[in-house]
Amino acid sequence: MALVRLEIDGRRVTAEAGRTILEVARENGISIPTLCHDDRLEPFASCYLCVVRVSGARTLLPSCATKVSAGMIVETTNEEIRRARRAALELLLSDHYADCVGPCQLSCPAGIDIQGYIGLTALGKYREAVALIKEKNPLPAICGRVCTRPCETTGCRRNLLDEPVGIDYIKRYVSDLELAERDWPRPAAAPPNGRKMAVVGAGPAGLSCAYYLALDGYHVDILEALPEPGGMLRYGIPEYRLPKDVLDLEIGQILGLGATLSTNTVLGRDYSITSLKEGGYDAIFLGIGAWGSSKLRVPDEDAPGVLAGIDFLREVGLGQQAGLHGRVLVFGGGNTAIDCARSALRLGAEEVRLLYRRTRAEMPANEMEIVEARHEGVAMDYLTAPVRVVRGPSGRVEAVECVRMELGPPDASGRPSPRPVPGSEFRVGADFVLVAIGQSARVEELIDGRIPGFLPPGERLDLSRWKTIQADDHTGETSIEGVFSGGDVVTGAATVIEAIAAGRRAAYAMDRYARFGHAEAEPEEFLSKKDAFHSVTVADLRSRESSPRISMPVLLPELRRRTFAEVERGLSPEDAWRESLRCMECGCSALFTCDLRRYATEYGAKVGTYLGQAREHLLDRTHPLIELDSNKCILCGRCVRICDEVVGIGAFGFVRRGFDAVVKPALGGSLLDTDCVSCGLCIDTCPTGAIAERNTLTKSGPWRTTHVESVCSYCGAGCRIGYEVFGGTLVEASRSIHATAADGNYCGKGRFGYATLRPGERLSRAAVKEGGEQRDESVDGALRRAAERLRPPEGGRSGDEVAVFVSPRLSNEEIYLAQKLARVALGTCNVTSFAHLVNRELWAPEVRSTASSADLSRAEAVLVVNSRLDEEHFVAGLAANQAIRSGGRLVYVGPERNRTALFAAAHVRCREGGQLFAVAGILGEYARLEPAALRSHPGLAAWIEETGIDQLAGLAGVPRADLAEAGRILAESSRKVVVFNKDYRGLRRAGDERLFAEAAEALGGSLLALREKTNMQGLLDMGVGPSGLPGSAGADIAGLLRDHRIKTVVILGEDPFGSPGYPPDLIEGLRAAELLVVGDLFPTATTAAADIVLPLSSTAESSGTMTNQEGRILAFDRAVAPVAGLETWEILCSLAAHLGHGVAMAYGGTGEVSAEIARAVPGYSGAHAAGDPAPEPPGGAAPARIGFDPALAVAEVAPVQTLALDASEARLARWLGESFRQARAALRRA
Amino acid sequence: MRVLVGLGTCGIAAGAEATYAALAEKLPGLGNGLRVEKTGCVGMCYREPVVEVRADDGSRWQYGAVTADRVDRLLAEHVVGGTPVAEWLVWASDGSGAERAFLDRQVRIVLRNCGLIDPEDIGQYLEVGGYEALRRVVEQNDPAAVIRAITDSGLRGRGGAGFPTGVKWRFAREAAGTHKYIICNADEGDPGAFMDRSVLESDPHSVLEGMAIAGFAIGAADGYVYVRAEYPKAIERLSIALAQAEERGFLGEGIFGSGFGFRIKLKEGAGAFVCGEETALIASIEGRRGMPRSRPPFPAEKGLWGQPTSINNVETLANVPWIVRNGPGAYSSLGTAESKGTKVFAMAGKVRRGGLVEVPMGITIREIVRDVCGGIKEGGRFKAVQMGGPSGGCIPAELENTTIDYESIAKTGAIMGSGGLVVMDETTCMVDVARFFLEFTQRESCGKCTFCRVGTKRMLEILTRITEGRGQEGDIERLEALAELVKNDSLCGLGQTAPNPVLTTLRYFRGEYEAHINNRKCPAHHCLPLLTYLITDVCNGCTLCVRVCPSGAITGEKKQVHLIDPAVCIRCDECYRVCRFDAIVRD
Repeated sequence: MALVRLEIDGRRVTAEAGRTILEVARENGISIPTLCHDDRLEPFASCYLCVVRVSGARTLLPSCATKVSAGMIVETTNEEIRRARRAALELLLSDHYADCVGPCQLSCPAGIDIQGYIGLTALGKYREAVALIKEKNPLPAICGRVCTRPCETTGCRRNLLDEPVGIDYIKRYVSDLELAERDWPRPAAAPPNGRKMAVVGAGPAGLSCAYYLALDGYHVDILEALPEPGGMLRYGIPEYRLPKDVLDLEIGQILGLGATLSTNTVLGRDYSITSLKEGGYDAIFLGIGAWGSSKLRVPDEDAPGVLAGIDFLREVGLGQQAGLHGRVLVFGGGNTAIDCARSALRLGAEEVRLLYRRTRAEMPANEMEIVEARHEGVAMDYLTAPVRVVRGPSGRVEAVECVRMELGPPDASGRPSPRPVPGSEFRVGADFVLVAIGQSARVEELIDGRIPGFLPPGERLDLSRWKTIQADDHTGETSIEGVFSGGDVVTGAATVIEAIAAGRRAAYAMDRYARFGHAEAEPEEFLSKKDAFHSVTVADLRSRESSPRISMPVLLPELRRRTFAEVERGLSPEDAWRESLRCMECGCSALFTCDLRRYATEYGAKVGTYLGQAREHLLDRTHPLIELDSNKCILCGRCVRICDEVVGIGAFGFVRRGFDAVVKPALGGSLLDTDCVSCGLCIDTCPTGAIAERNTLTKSGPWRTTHVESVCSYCGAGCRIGYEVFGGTLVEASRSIHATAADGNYCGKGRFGYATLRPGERLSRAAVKEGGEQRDESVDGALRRAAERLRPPEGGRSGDEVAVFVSPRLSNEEIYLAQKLARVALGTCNVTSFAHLVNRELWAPEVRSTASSADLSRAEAVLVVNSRLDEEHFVAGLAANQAIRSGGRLVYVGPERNRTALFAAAHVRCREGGQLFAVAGILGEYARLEPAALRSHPGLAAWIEETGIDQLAGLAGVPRADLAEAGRILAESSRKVVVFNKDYRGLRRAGDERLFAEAAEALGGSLLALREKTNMQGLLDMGVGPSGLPGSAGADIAGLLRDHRIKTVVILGEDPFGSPGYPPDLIEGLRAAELLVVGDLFPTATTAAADIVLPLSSTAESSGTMTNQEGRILAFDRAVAPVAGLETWEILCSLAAHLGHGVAMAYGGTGEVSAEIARAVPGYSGAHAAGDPAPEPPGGAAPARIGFDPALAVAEVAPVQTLALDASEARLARWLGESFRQARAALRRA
Repeated sequence: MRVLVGLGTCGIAAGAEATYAALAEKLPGLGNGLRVEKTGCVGMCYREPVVEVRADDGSRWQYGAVTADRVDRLLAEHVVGGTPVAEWLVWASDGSGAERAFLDRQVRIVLRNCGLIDPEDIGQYLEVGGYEALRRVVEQNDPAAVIRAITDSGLRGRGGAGFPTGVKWRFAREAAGTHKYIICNADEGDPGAFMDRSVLESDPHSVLEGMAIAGFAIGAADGYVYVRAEYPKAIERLSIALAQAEERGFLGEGIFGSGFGFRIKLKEGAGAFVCGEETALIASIEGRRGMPRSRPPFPAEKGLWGQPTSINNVETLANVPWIVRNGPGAYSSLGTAESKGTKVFAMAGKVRRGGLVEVPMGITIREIVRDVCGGIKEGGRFKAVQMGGPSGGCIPAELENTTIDYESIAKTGAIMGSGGLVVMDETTCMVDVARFFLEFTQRESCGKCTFCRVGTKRMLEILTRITEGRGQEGDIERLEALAELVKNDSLCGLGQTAPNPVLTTLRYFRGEYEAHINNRKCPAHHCLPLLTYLITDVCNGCTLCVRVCPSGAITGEKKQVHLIDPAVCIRCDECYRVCRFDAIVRD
């Protein structure tokens, strides 16, 4: 390919002609945003996000579809480009009827990820739930009791259906657990950064601010005027709602981060802003609350016995209020009024009466509070307002004269304005009157000059119209440099959660201020909201099944009088779990992966710019694994094209035109009605959440997962995949970050197969058989027992009587350790796998791949024999599709008329078992065109010559013309790959593998030998071959079994007893053994028969390497902990140690095993890290000389079926089968 | 003597088949040598059915509006009596005829045979020199010379973009490929345009011959006519023509005994406007969704089935045999420096003589509207022309001296386009015109790229609310900003040109937009929701309006001046239409 020079963003780069600007920019580390491009697909140019400026072009050009040319000058970012990209995003967003996060999160002043923590609660991941909450709110146990819950009242979509989810109950539940469990890991503060901050006021705003500052490594001094920290939490909210010990525990956690607290330290008395500034603080936070009380403004309000509600509550909090008795009147309708009323009741009042000037409907107090107050016996008079206080003879209050009110038109606050009904005055007797009609900040008295030098010279603290501190909504900055503020002192009396949020935001801004000299608001992420389009309806809900809200158990009302014990008792574990299931997961599952959202944030796109009509669709959940939400679809067509271009299925299509265009399953119905093979590539390519996996977890977040590079262990392709992990749970599988266009696909097993590896059905404990019965045992206990019985001479076995069987799904490290265990600790060379005991005539271990999957995708001609690419070797099939798409031609040799045959340029449809002759015939025809071809294969040449092409055609059962056509295609092409399946199940001939391998050589091409099991090649490379270990060459383990000479059997990961069709004489041989030790992932027929059962770890639960069918060594990392606690390698090493060979098998980890393999096995010497970008197949050892022996070639062999030897794939197949059966049935019913 | 009946779709719609039947029944009885014949469309849509009496000496009399009931008189007076019926005569070879300006000012190359020959009879095409050009080309056997001739003639693609046809052919000829294709784009989709339909219906062989010549020139052996399914008559006549041409050996293998073979297939389009776009058209022929892809590669390089393909419009191809026969010089002598030859226009709107006209390049808009087409209907005032269909723009009457050539038209913000030309008078609301065309493009967008799919939708929403009296401050700026974005950041011509009607009306008629938004008035009194209905003193109290008013907004005693309650009026326009005394005014 010719090279061209061009300039991108001022950099001179060299690129292959024919590449696109997007590709060349990426190669040079310049990222250009795109939504419609996927490097596996042809350029489409539909989203127009990738536009760039090319000198000389009239308009911006889509870089995904514009090829580079010599001398081109490209600019990938400037204001014009940013504007165009933002416009494209805004247009897409104007038709993106979707919620990024649930409305609950949006309505939470602190923006807590509610869906996330409820999901974690549903999974029993309480620690993670609390940690998630604490990212936004450090006082969850407090909030779980006193929050006004906008998330429930206005946020929760369940309001459309039945009742809101008990979000706050769940929060309280998990945070109470945290408070109770002292050993839970809690976030640790960053190392001290040497800077210090002052926080004035230990109320919710100050505490929250201090928490986040302390986490960032600041030294924080909290200064509190009252004797104890907590502010309104302690001195405004009564104990029966918020027990002081809960308060103490949560505040204790904040102080535990290293913040210091000084109580009884009063601003304006003990210190001033000036002194703080002089004290060297980097920034100061003022969170001094709103402790002023509004007056009734009626005559004789100052009579003894008339108290401000807020003062009354504070005194109760200080333990000072005694002597309350008789009739208590409370004026007001907010939470403070209710708190006063209920406290008064508990303090001994005979009668408590709450008077409110509007009706119950307008009362601002929480509904729940009102209900409970009434239960407790608080009387309520609505439409009643005080006119004057009536003094008794002593001058004390004796009564209040009131007047009846009626409601007029709405006032500024939107509530109906009450007005007195003339002549309706009446008198209510009272011993005490509590006034709770409003609170105010008391800042003015600090700064009006009464306190000399309170503010530094020249500084002024700006106040609002309501005499609160004026502070920036996002940063909390006040008019004084370096002084921030938040909470009630800014907002006036508001909610705890608002104060907490303000404290956190200020902490963020103060940190930036301290570090960079200017305050900065928390970054704002783009969030799409359905409500921006119009009010949502029941049709938007993911489910319409009603379920009742769990009610909070409360202390019996009759028990509440005279006690401040907490009224709400908290949910039971069962109820908390059940309530968490009620969450309908309104937020998008692609929240953390969505490219549309990422770019919208990056480009500052606004959803409202082009708002107009948006398309609305119903969710399609007919497919059991894949969920389609067309509302989120941006018509990029990636799913349509990946299914068509890469998979060759075309399960998706565009329907309708223009604005109404929509991507749907091809026939407009369900995906189940299409040819969809459920590979999941559409999920992976979708840039939004329009196509999502239907996760099998009870709740699936979304959470910000950790990506772990791994390898799919279901077949010989050994596809690189990623595991997405959160909180120790495998959330889903994803595309490897090192995936390339040519190499990086997977099939449904890779995408969905992780689900069956989850704990549910796995072996989670070891077992030991005693008296014919298996009983559970600890892994270590089982290993001890195993060692006792295995150890020679006690075990009494010579090496000949021991056999170890290893699954080709284990990693190289595990296999290596297994054979080492056998050799070193068990003294036997009988190490093999059950697959190796059968089909011996067919075994040709020297035949191995010389081609990679990428070679196949680039081939000009592909000869496929003995393999059904479309069904059994999906990923190889994709590579072959790619070759065909780029003009390559496929020759298919086989009796079946399947999809592979359909796409073949030539189908040599031989009779069953005739493949060998067909390939030989093709080779003969090829040699007629390329006479040199067979020169270095004299034996083969002679046989073909001798037999004659006509006869080969006859033996193959095909017209000779077909062979000639195939030969011609191969002769016309240069890059050639021969593909065949070493584990082919059809009728075979003994010499076919060797013939195919020689054919590949003779054609001047390479060979891709497909394998059914992931690590079949690794098994051979680790020395576990058909005839056991080197050194036991010729040992006939099958023969030993048949002769019942094997007395001790160790099986790792195979299930011969559960394999129908496995030769009965071999099974008998196993049954004749006296000791059967079996390790597996799942309970199987073989583990059931075992004397000792060991639970092994899966690929997700360990690290290591696999050698796939290409011969590529693929490393993987541990994603989650093993179900039973130990990784397979640890089990093997531990067993060795119990057998007295601890030293020989002492490893610090699988890395050390890999290193030993690298020293011992040729071709394994490279370093292998998980997700190594492009480990090529080991090239060191040239494949052994292939010897095709015509004498053996023609023998017919029907291979023994061996698939079920492994339980994991069977289980996956069963699970998938059942899911699809149910989905189809549901679809038929609908 | 022969009597010819114009049986194009427009003639048939006006009753030409009945006229033909009446003639066929009566004419043969009147004497020997009298024949009725079919022919295509001469272009006088405003006077269909058109009947021509042609004497054996070649003298011709064309009559307009000859419905079946007029046949008797025509036969009696002209055929039998020998005296032409002067009052119906539109054009005659003797210099008479009331509408001769319409035809006399035209230069007919593309339409040379339209209305003169029977499109279903290859013999008549051969009589006028048909397939001579193909014969000459094949016999000379010099493809490069053909391409040179077309290049020298200055012929530019008549589909709209005006790309030089010779250059396009040269690219296709020079591109590497095993099998090349010619595609005739007959997916005429602009609302109001029917040039291609008329040519296909009236003279299909000239298009087939043009395709074969093109095929010879670029080295293609196969051609497709991609014709919209809504043109059944064109498809029928094309099929007949194809069969006849194959039968005569003008298509197929070994044409004129040479080694050149060329086959043509018909492919019916499925009615998507965007399939007129080259890459979408190719996708459609290939059986895929008609969706454009980005270019390059251009079809000349990678077209149908990935092979080099030349896609030419019907009108372009119909020019080709003429140019080959008459030489490039004859063609290039017509027109301006950059725009040669003629252009066919479909005249529609408020013009007196609506129909198909072919005029030399370089003529002015004024000449077409006033001289050829007789000016505005019913004494209205000429306000603007809309050229180029939904991709085009409005040119105001002040610019009526603009000459018809690609560059001059483009300077106004409109485009030559495929030849739709809508004439507007002062009752046309320009905002509504923009809305109308945008509604069309928006509906016909394929939905692939963001700006075209969503951008045009948002523009339409703004235009709609303006015409409904819900315009908002800033709407004009929003429209302009969106229009620029859609124009620059759309994948294919459909999106790139869709804002043109909006941009040109904003350029020349911005005041109308402002009136709609700021004053809630439609100056053309067209947008009903913006109108106020008033009854003037002229009202004589006939009560007709009261009776038709569906909302009961009109009150008044008999013989008293009536009153409309604007709060109740739903602006249905019924009263305005029924009032016989012009007593109702709309403001």
